Amino acid sequence: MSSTARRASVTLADRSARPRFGCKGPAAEAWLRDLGLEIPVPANSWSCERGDVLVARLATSEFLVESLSPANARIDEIAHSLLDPAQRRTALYPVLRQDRVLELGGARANDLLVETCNVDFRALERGAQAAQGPLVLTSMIGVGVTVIPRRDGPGVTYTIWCDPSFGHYFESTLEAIADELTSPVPLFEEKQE
Amino acid sequence: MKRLGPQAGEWIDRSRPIGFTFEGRRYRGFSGDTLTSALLASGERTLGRSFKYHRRRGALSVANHDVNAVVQVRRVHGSVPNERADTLAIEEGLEAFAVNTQGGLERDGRAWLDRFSAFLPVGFYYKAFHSRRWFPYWERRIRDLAGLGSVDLKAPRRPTAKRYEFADVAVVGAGPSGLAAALAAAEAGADVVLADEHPHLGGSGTYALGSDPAAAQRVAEMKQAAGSHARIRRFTSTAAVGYYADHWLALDAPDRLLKLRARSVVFAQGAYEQPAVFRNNDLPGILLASGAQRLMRRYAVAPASRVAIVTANVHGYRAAIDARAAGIEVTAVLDLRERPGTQSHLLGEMLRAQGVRLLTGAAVYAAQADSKGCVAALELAEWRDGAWHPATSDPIAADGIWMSVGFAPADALLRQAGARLHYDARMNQFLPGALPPGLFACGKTNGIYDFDARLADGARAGAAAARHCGFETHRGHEAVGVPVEPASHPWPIVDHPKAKNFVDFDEDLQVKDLENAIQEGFDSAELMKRYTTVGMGPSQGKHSSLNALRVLARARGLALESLAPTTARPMFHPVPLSHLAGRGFTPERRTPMDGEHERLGAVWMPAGNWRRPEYYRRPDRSREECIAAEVKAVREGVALIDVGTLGKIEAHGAAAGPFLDRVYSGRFDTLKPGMTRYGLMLDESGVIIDDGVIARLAPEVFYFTTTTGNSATIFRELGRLATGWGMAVGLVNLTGQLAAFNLAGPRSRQVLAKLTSLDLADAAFPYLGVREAQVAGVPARLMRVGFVGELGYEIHIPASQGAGVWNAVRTAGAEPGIVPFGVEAQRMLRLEKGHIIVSQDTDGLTNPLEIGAGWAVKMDKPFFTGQRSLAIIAKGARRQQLVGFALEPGPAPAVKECHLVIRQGRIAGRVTSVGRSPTLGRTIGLALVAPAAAKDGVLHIRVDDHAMVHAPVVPTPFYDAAGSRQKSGASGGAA
Repeated sequence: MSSTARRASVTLADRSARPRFGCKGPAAEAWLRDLGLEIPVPANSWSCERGDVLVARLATSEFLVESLSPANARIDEIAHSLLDPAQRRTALYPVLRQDRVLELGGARANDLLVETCNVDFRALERGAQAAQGPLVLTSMIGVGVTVIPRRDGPGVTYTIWCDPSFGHYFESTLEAIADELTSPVPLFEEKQE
Repeated sequence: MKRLGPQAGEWIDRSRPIGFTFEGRRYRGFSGDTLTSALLASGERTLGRSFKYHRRRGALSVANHDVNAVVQVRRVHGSVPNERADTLAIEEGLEAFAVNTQGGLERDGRAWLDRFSAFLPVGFYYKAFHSRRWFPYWERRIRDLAGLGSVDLKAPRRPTAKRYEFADVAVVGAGPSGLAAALAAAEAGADVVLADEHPHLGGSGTYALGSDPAAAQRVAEMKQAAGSHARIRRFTSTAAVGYYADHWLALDAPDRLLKLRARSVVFAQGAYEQPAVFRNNDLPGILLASGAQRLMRRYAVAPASRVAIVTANVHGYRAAIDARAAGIEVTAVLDLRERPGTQSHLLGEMLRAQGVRLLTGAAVYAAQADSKGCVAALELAEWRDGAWHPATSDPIAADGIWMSVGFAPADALLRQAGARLHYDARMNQFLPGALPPGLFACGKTNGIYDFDARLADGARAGAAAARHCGFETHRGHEAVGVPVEPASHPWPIVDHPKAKNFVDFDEDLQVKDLENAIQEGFDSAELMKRYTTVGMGPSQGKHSSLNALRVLARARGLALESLAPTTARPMFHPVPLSHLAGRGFTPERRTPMDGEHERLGAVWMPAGNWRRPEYYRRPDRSREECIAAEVKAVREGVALIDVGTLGKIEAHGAAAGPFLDRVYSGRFDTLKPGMTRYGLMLDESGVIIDDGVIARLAPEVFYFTTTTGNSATIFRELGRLATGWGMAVGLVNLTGQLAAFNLAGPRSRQVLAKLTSLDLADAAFPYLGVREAQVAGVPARLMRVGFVGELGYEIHIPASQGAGVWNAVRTAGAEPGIVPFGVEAQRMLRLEKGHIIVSQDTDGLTNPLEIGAGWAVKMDKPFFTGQRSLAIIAKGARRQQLVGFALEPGPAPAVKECHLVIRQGRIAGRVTSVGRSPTLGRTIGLALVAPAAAKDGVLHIRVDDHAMVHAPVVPTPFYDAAGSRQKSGASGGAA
């Protein structure tokens, strides 16, 4: 974890180091299934195999596979094989995933999201589950992101993937907003009659 | 004026007195007071000066729209201009000053402008100050005269981050109909946002009740219900200021802008009460009747001691009842109508029985001012022969005139949403017709003013909005009838030979100003608005547009129904600039070697949205010397540049080759695996939009680069083209996922050989070859390209390992003295080779034939984007031509990019790239010029000080024309 900002009500954790790979193409789904991975069926959805490996279907035929543990030899091995030029496969296209990955949580996570993204995550939060659910391909603070809301105990965490070249900007901006949200500067509150 | 006794539901907290100053004088008010209410309660009547003539102005609506009572506010954390006094909550220690005065509100040094108003008619500026020579002077003078506060540049920045909100149903306006709509929608199961510009819910239900306790009780119950409903989120002091497609609403909250996305919207903003137009209708003490009611009910302020009410509806009579209940003497009620409606008649008789003088068919001809410039009396007008005429009766003494002659619906958002409104001649009001899907209106906007009918209409609209979102409810189908007695008079405008009968208080526009504009030909609503600026002030025509249309209709002899009002654009209500600015995001991309560059002393520059090293600092060396040293290192030794900013895309599948053949102007289906080729991408008109190197890694795998600034755009465009052409090609964007750098120079092979087992000999890895191999133990793609005209290798590796391999290469190159080089050295190196930079050496009209890149265009292919256009272009004469030029060594004025090339006194082109080549010892450049200028053999370039530099046209490349250095790594030499 290269950067962790723990706050009372907003948490941001760097999950970039998790083993992961991506693939797409007509043969991608069958190839992943042959590897024994549980594949989510709907477009833009995810599932979590035994709580350890997350498989996300991005649109219809692109997949992101990520270990939820910091080390996973099996995922590393698959990724290595997939990216090896000597093992290119027909209709299966490797997608290098060096993403900056942040995990957003805390009671006021939604306050950060509504300042940075025009997607109604509160609506997704209500239906969030621990093992499967919808994902969102959208833009936050001007950066294309993939977001998965996931039930984590009593709360919901949002895992956010973005292009690594935006990583510094993305993380530092979110951290600054998180700091502001938890600082004494009063936020606008709706008035109660 | 005075503070009244406690009022039911008043907004002030009498237990919390507050001290503040206005124009340097100390005042006291209560928590909950606005500046306007606190000043009026303290006996002040003049709150500001008008924009143009500096006339005294007081309160008008007390409803968030009083743009003549605008103040500069000093607080502990800084000074803020242009706060509206009718919404500005007082706070302890607040210091306020009227804007737009010279020397203070009472002794405004520019009040003389009022006496010269005859010389300042509408259009005066256009006619008097159009001289090019004098315009800057007059502009400064006029801006100075019309100053509206001052910006405190030292004020600390407050966080005003924008925020998104979401709801099933958005209800704009929390008056009786809005409350009813919100409750009906929420009871149907919808998640509701209820927004109102005032600090408390209730709208007109909190003041315009005419002493009706049952209605007041009903409003209080609804406020309580809405205030405690779990599915209703309430945003008070929050004005809806703009509507955008797909039910996006801009809400201006106290500290920020909210962007609300709703599935359906109910517009319940009510109606703006309209002023009567008569001479001196702007004197302090003349208010809209609803404004006076707000002051009495909300702030417990008596706006006058003796009032005359001019009305044309039942609301004026109710205001009279409220005034008497507050202990204010009602000296007369003037009804513009010769025959008041039934409700008005009943209330009128009740007032008459209490001794109030009632006059029908009567209006105000002119208001008279006292010694302090505030209203003191009114002269009567009477309706005869279809027009208003001065009456012979004596003036009526009154220190207040309240106007209740009609309403204009608050329909700006509806119009922005695409609703069509029509003028109803029976109601004398614009009414919405069929609304776009998901939009609903209720209450006064629909011409419904009766209290019970408004509640019914609100409930209908709220239920219908919930049903639109999929919630089941049995309500929402009821039709609510419009009232029998119209609320608006068709002609509340009284002409006066001495004018000063204002239609627009924002811009000091009188009836004659509009008539003169119409006479000059500006005779449509749009033209009249633009010429006179009616409705263009801060209140955006809330109190002026309807009367202006009436003046236009009369002048043209048209019915009002035939005129279309203008639509106020978002934001139709004043919004602080800080709210519009929000937080401000500037996405910036960094390569994986960013930290290494920092350690090496990089001087940063932006390139697209990337930050790149412009050059690397060296001790005691100037910028130019540093860049020259980097160029020298590439030409004579070995150097390293980060090119990770290039777009990096893979195309997979059997269709990848044919796809790239259609995308690029060159031929790639025939490219051999293991080789690369330069490619130009064109648009449909044959204009160059991008270039890059396309590598074939395997028969069905291509890997190619795009320019730094275009990677995201090109990737999106490729996806669009693949879909449109129905080609099964898999596209993968690796731009940020891969690090890339170029190892260049005669000794680059020697350095790279230390890090890879790949055979780097020319025979095994020739020029323009591509290989996949390990570099420093990391899987890499290597391309032998002539990036800077020397033996060189572009090395692409996973981003996470970029910094490690970069450092490994630097370590391996330590003995030959490897150095990093930045963008400026790269530009010079590429310029020496005559390599173009797309969008710098080309513009939005440049085709390949004009830059001598015909070799990269294969017209014999079946198809590529831009082919047909190029075929047509090829048959005609060239419009421009990219040529090289070189100055003789020696001192000469500096030629810069974008300097113009002049031929026979006319612009014949521009310099696109230029610099002093350390390698060649002279200034070289490229220029995009007219073919005739190129043929002349010498370019005449006008430089900064208007001097002319004469630059011989020379062939490109400037350096190593044969390309032997990049092809074999052998020593070439300067051309």
